[in-house]
Amino acid sequence: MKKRRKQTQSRISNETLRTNPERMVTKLEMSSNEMETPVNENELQANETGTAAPVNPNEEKLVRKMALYMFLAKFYSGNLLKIDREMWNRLGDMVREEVSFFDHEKMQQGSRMIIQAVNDAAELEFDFNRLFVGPDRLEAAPYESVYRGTERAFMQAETMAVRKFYERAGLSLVNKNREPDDHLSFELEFAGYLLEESLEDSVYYELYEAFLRLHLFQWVERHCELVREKTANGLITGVSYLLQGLMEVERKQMNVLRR
Amino acid sequence: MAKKQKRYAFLINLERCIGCNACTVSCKSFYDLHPSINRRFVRETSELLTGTPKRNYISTSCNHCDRPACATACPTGAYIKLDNGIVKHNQDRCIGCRMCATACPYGVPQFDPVKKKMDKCDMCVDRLEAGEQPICVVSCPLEAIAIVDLNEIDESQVVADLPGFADSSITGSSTRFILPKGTTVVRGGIKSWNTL
Amino acid sequence: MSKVSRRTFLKGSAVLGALAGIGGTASSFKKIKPAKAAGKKKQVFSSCPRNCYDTCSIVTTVEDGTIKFVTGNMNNTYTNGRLCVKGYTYPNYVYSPDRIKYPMRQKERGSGKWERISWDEAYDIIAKKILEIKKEYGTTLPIALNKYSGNFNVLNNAVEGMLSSWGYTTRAQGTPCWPAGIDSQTFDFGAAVANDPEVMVKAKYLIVWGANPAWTSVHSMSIIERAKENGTKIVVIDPIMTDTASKADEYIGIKASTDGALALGMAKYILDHNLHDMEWMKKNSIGYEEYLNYLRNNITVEWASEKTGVPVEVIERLAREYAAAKPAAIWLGYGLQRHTNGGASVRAIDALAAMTGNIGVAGGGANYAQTECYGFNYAVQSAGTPPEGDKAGGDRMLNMNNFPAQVLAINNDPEQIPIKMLWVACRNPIAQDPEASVSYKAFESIDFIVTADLWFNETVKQSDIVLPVSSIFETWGLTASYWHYWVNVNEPAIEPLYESKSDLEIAMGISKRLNELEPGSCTYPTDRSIEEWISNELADDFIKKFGFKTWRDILEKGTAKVEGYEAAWSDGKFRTPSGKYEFLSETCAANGHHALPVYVEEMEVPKDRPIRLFSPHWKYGLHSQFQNLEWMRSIHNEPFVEIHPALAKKKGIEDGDMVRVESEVGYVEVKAKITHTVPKDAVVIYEAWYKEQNFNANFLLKATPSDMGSYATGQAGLAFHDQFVTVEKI
Ligand code: SF4
Ligand code: SF4
Ligand code: SF4
Repeated sequence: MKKRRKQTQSRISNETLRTNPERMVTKLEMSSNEMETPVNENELQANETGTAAPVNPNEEKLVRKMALYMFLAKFYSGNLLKIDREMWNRLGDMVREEVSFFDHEKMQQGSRMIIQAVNDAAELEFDFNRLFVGPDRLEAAPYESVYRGTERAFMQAETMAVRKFYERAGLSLVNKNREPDDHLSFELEFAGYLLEESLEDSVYYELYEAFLRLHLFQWVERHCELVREKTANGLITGVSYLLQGLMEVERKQMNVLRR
Repeated sequence: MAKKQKRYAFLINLERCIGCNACTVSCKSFYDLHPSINRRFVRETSELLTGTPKRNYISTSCNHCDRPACATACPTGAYIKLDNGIVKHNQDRCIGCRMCATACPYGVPQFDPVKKKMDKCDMCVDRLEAGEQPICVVSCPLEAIAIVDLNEIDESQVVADLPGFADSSITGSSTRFILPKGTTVVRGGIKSWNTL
Repeated sequence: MSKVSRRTFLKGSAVLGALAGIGGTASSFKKIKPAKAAGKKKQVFSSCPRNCYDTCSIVTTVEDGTIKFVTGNMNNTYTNGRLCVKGYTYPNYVYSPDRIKYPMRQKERGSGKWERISWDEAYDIIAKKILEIKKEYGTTLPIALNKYSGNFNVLNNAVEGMLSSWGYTTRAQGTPCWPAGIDSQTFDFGAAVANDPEVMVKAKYLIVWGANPAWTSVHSMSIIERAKENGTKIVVIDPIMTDTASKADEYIGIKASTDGALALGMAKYILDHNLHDMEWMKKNSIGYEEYLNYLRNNITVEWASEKTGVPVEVIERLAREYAAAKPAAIWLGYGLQRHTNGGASVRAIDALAAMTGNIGVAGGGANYAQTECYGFNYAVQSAGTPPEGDKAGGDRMLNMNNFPAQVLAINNDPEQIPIKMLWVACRNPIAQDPEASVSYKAFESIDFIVTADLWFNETVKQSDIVLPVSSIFETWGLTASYWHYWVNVNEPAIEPLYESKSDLEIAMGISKRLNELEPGSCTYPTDRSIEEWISNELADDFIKKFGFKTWRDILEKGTAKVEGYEAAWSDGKFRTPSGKYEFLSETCAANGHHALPVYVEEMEVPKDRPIRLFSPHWKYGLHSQFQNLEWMRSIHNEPFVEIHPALAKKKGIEDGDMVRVESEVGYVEVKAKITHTVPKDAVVIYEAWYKEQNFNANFLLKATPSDMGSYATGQAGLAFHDQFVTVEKI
């Protein structure tokens, strides 16, 4: 089964992508159709027993990014609110470890702040809710649509564009229609998923780049800056630097300037 | 005999319009417009429009002019005047230079900060072609907006100009208004306080 | 999918390993077949449940599980396929990022330190508090409810049922809007039953008296426009030249609170010129001789002119025109009865309609309101009955219109059973009640406050727990109007957003927990589906009225009309003790008022605050709803005070200046809008809740009661328009 295509086969030039991201998405739609075909068991076996491919430094970085996406997604989903200082200490160290692969000042600043601010863990939940959850008007709403187009109303065009992107990659929210598709934690989780899949099929990497270009780059940095305006909480501020730094690293790699 | 080409235009009945903005909001909702953009505008106008002071409003959108200044000004030819009278803006051609906004005496075209292109009312041309009325027409709770055929309408019953509304002769605005009637005002023993 | 080599890889990341243990590994996504992605489009019937005359039947377009557009239902001839501006903002209402999403607990009231809790935790905390109170006091009387008109879906009466199912409790009773007029019509007719507003077109002459349908009942305004085009003369009587008045043939700018004098003056002229309908009175009424004698002996047109500021010849002409036109209709608004003599004014106007024989006539009537369509079973409410052994023996009633002060009085009195817990639903009392400062104190005196709402507001801010309520588009519902004769069904259009639940689901959830903790402690049923509840609301004979076989038949058109109200009272069967229209009402006298519809003097204008404040309804909002939404804010987001040019000149105020409006109880600073449409001795601030602005007309309002209301609604109304202020340029 041609489960794993050769890199060259599915490459679409970056140029095409920049000028016509929709085309790329269509391309992926085709490829995900193909993916419906069952996986060859033998091939699986073969892989399991075979030795792991040598670690390519690019792939190494990719895995680090995935880890950071996962961390950021969990953070924004509110899953890290109840953990204690001790756990934050450990997490902070691990994040620093991941970040050390990137020579990027903002990211490092972010991870340093997380480690220094573990004392803010006590107030984290209150500050987090004030910024991102409610019940009061959100001070830094973590929804793409709030930063683009339909300000303070989602499930409009902007949210639907994100939903369409997920669907073309063969995914849909478990909580579809109960929570807006363009919540930051979902977008980050999705980016991480695309990276993970790209380890096997490079078309996902192209999709990843397109997702950043069409979505995350359109608002996440502005969101991070807004967060820092609105809170003094070191953990949240640290996360905002980390996230913004990650975006900047990707921008540099993809050669996309911030407008 | 061949059917005469229709010339669509908005007819706004100011005697009915209560300035409620239902037209603005339903259009915004239907077309999923950026919140800073309205294709219809409801303005308060002079309290003295009919002599005795009272609350008056005008609801307008693009006037689908006979000599559209937007089209003349647009460097990419994004505006076209259709045979049925509608001035249509083609967003694919639009480069967001805002020349049209400057040229239009009514300030109609608006800049969409997300699409980076101009936006304006197209009289719901797709709906009209499908035999449906524009969204503002079917949404107005007072049924104050109608689409008329300028070839059929009795021009003596309507006006094209209102105080505070740019002279219709500049671009040949196709919008027509039914003027509000006067109201007899009795207050504090003064029959009409025009003189006050 | 082969992830083996990848997994080996991922092990290299410590973060991933650690994170896997926190909050689970479940993905937020699921795999789908791309072909399935394209969403289906459907249309469902919704119903606007707001406290609005028009109670619209809505058609909601849903695509791929999200609302795309809402518009009016053509099957409902009153809604006429159109909504008001508020209705068109519903997609924005449902999908605002600012909605309350999860149950949350506040660390300390007003601190803004909110923590997310699960529904189970919320139910647990609440249930334990209820049991604790019950144990300490031997009754649930320390639990109070403050709920009113935020959502008139009949299923929301589950809140009342829920409290009853815990035991006897303390209730905010009454209504702020219309009670004085309801009493008047109950004294005169035996009940308030208006003609079907759709037959207003049949009137030859229509007096809109103290109502502003152009803003508060746009669909009726459309009917009025149609009537006008048919040749009906429209007269609007109002101290403010409203948008409705601006559409009238004639506008009478009456002095506030003197409406009764105008009605009596007109009646006197009609009597003097023998234009009254003696035959109707003889056949259908009692006390008409006494009434006519009162007119003969006590009323002159000159006196009425003096009182009202309306010239004698205008009163005479109005009287002549009104008496000559057959039929002639009067629409009595709620504005005119929000005075200390408001109930008396309504009775005088009713009498005018009755003495001209305009009662029981299509296109006539003294039309105030109707509650004939509320033929529901109220099963959601009656499902909750106090469990055995509550020693209180009955609920304790407080006046909704003076709730905070009464709570304080109770909590400061050691003799009384205190109020320890408050449940707020369908209401934002801190923003909407008069004398906000007293409200804050009352809230402070209560231990535990739960608010169920969609929006964060002043009341939520002062609560311990907030529960996210689903919007009408996310649940079932049934609504009836108090004006037109349609009943609308509301089908769920979309799934509830986040973790929101309906008030009914909340009632069942708490009941379940209570019974787990202490079996038998709560009687509220927990095993019925929402659809079952709906079917329980529609009694067989109610369904038959519409010609339906089962309640589900209403789903076909989304709406159904109760027929037979073209001419209310045409059968001559009044619901008064005498069975007749009562010009002279013993019941009214027994309630401390005059038996006859005599003139009651208006409230005196205080010397130090000579300017009257009106705070009528706003066109872009309904009480505290809608004006907070983004789409509304993009049209209008700046409160203003309307001032007549003459008053402005005297005060040196120019259009756009900031002014300070101050009353006995508070002040606001607001932008001045100079307009000829308000009286010279009054200012107008429209009542609305502007999100995140320290502004509310209610800051200025004193809880001055209106004359009537306690007979039919339990409590007197509020004299919203007998408020006096000073206005100065800042
Ligand atoms: S909806 Fe109709 S009445 Fe309301 S502002 Fe628009 S045109 Fe006027
Ligand atoms: S109103 Fe303005 S935008 Fe519309 S056709 Fe005329 S010139 Fe062009
Ligand atoms: S607020 Fe009233 S008029 Fe507006 S949509 Fe709701 S029921 Fe209809």
